[in-house]
Amino acid sequence: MGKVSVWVIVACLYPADASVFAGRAVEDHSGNPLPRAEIRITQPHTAGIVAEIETGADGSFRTPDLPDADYVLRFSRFNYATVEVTSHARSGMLLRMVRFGAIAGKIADFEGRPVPYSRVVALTPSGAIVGTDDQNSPRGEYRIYGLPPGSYQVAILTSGESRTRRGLLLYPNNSAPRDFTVAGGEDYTGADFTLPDGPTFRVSAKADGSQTRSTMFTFVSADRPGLHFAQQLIPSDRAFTVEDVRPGDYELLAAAVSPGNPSMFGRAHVTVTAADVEGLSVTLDQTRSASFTLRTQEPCGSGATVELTAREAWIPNRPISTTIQAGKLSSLTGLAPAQYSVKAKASQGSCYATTQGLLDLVRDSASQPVEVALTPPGSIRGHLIGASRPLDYVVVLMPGDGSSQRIALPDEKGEFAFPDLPPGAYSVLAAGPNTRWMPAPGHAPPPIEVLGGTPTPLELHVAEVSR
Amino acid sequence: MKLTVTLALAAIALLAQSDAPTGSVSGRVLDADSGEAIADFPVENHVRTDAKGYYKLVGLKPGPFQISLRGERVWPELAVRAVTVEAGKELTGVDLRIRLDGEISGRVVDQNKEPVGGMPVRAIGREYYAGGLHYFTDTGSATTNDRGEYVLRNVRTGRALLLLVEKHKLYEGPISEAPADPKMRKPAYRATYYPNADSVEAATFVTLRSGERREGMDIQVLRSAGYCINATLTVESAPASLDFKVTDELTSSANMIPGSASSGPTGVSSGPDGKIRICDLYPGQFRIAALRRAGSLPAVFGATSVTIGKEDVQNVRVIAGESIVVPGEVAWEGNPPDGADKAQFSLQTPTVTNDSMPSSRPRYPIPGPFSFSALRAVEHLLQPAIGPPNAFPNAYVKDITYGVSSVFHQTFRASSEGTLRVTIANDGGFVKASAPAGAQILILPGTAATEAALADAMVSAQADPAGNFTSRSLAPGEYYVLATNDPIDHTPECIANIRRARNRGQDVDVGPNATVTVILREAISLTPAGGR
Repeated sequence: MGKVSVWVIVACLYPADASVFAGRAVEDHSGNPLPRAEIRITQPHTAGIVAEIETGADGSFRTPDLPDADYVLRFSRFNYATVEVTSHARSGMLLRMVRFGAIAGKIADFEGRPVPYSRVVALTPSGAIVGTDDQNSPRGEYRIYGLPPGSYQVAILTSGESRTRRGLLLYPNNSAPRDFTVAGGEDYTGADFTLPDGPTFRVSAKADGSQTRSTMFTFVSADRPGLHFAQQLIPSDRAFTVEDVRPGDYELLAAAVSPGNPSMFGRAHVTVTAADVEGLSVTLDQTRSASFTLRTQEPCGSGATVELTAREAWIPNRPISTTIQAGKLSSLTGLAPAQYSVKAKASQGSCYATTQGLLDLVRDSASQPVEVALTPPGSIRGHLIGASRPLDYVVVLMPGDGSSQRIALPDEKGEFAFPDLPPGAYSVLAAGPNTRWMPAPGHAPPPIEVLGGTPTPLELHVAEVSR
Repeated sequence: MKLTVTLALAAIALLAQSDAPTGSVSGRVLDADSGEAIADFPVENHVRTDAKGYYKLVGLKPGPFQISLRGERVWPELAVRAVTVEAGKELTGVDLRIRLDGEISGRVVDQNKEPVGGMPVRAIGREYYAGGLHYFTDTGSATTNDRGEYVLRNVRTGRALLLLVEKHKLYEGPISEAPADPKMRKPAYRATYYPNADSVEAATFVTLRSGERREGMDIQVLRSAGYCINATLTVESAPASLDFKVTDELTSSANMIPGSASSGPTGVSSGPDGKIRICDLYPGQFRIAALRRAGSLPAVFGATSVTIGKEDVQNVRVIAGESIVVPGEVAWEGNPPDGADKAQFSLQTPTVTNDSMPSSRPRYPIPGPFSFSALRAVEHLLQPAIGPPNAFPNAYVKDITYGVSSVFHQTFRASSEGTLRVTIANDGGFVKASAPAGAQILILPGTAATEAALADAMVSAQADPAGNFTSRSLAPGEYYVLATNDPIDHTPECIANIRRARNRGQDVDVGPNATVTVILREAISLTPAGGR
């Protein structure tokens, strides 16, 4: 068959005579009509909702008559990516909504008996937990859903209770975990775990340096430190002990945090091979610090808030934040020796704060200040190249996390725009009628970098194949 | 074979701990509904029942011993049995009747039978207390998944439950941005009971047998036009910034077991103008509660009922104020007993609506004045206690009045006037019963005219290992006394069964300061037909 496809000309997305939005919402991967999608209609830069409607049983929608103006339509539905489009009133709209993925299977012990009440998680390549099923059924069945487009591994955390071993088990095994790719609507089944038999060992440790304070110990996987297998608050005169540990590499995190006292932290790497690991000492002398500077420009003001969130499962694990000012060096001290996700937010106005995404303080404090920059919003001004009828297309913009999409509708000349974008990387594609808005795995266009304060030009080539 | 090994190991381990003589206890674990043996069920000391439900605990230290079944699938009130272990002897026939919990599963669907994901589902139970029938969230809650499926686990069996779908209200702020014109709004999700009812009266109750897994319990969630309530929160007639919460009156009473914890407003506050606009509501009766906290308790509180018909509700004023200090007086009826100068009275007063749950319980001398803080426009429970424990065995609370009315065994709503008067009598009598070991003893006042009154006033407790039981102090009067092995609770079904069984008990007249001895030769079934 080669690369021949049928180019069907469908009247869609044309400006309507009346000030009414009308059209249909369908599921992106199947084309099936999507009932009960909620559509919230607002005006750009204006508070208040103009109208809220829902799609009908056949996926169709029609707004009441609206005053002539530009409107923002936000389509949302449980377990689907939200879609936002800014437009004048139009009829014949076709909205394709991307259904999130699901992964399901069973858990059995090494004798084939169902293992209920385990925690199964879906992990991103960076180790972040995206979906969980904490209450899998007495029959050992689990189902994780709500997975935005992306790649996932599935892991089970076992608690060390009867017939299981404490540790992390990836599907189907830790040495060659399977990547589940979600591009919309995937419903993977049969991802069954069989918990292996085998020797287990005890790990015990004491905190050194906490004097009279209790210490919270957290035992985590070295590879995926966001997942913990044991947490205990241990008085200073007692040892932390965790039983039924499978051989592997682990990290032991220790935190002594109490109101009115300086926080104390320590961590130790633990390798379990073929014997108990006992008598470990974790010295609570590993507090870290980091400093921040703010670079700003008009009209972004001179303040921002920085928030650090540890990637490891430290307890306490609440984000730590500080306010920073332009021209001043601000510091955070008393931090745990952890890897942190860094987020920043402008204190006022519509500007965005950008900074490095990760701050590694595991071995030492930050040697250089972390720079935060305030910039006005970015935008994309683009042009469709090679489209004989640009009005037949939509341009789909996807932020990195896959949980939402923004749509631009090209004009007769093929010009389109995405205003008010936070600086960052985006995938952008042009979709004709009957074309999925979420490309198949491996076919996503390379992301483009949008800078703050200045429009990013984009020429989007459309490959049309005529009959 | 495996059980034998387990039992033997347990026995060796226990015997190894001491050379002192020990005893043993054995019996069966039985299903309370069917009477069938429950196999492979954990008892104590890692012992599990065998295929015929038998267990045997060995190596026990002589003296009082309590058998507790702590399996994941059993309710604790049925799973405890006190026995007395004798050295060198085996106490046999110590049977435990339990109900295993159940599971309810199904889907939430829309009017087109399409699955609806992300919808919270919970099981609602009902029990009598404080003179009325109250609804509360029983165990089991879940949220529908991407296929609209839900599974309620650890559901209590043997009692009638409602299944409720209710979408959580999430406030983005005090003023909803919903369109001003109701025609421009999306329909609201109504709180819906199984199978598709908008009220308790129209709903179908579900009663699981012990251990039952009921599937296919699909609930069609109802929709209706969405409306808004516009209100102003005030303190002393002036608009005020207060925390608030808007709840469906029909379902909010089912939020929790009253008095168990505070489920007060969620932390969303009105602005200084006191204005709130809450939307996505449907025709029905709603309650707006507004408060300002001082620590964990409300310092300022107000609540108002609002009825939504077929349009938005405007200009509601919620009047909040400081708590009402209710003066009280506690006194002995007649002459005080010896040592009355040491007598103490205390009163716990949680609200039925869980707006406040005071944790302290001040003690007051008897006789004497007392006081407590009551929230405005809210029903409170009155939970009195006489102390010190066992110091005045004949004492009992005879009546509580507010104004000219008795509020004993009822809910209480404070007004700005009136004194709560508590009468303590010291002429209580006792029922001493001899019954089959481990049976539940029920003492039912002859004066209880309604099921609600019976639930409040009845006394139930387990006989000791020898089958002996002595009641707490009872107001003089007529009582029916009976023994049963059936589970006892305050559900209407159980109370109705108890009421029907009343005449099969022994009718006794307890005189002032008298002790009536009753011999109950057998434990009767409250459900003669063999099921609830």
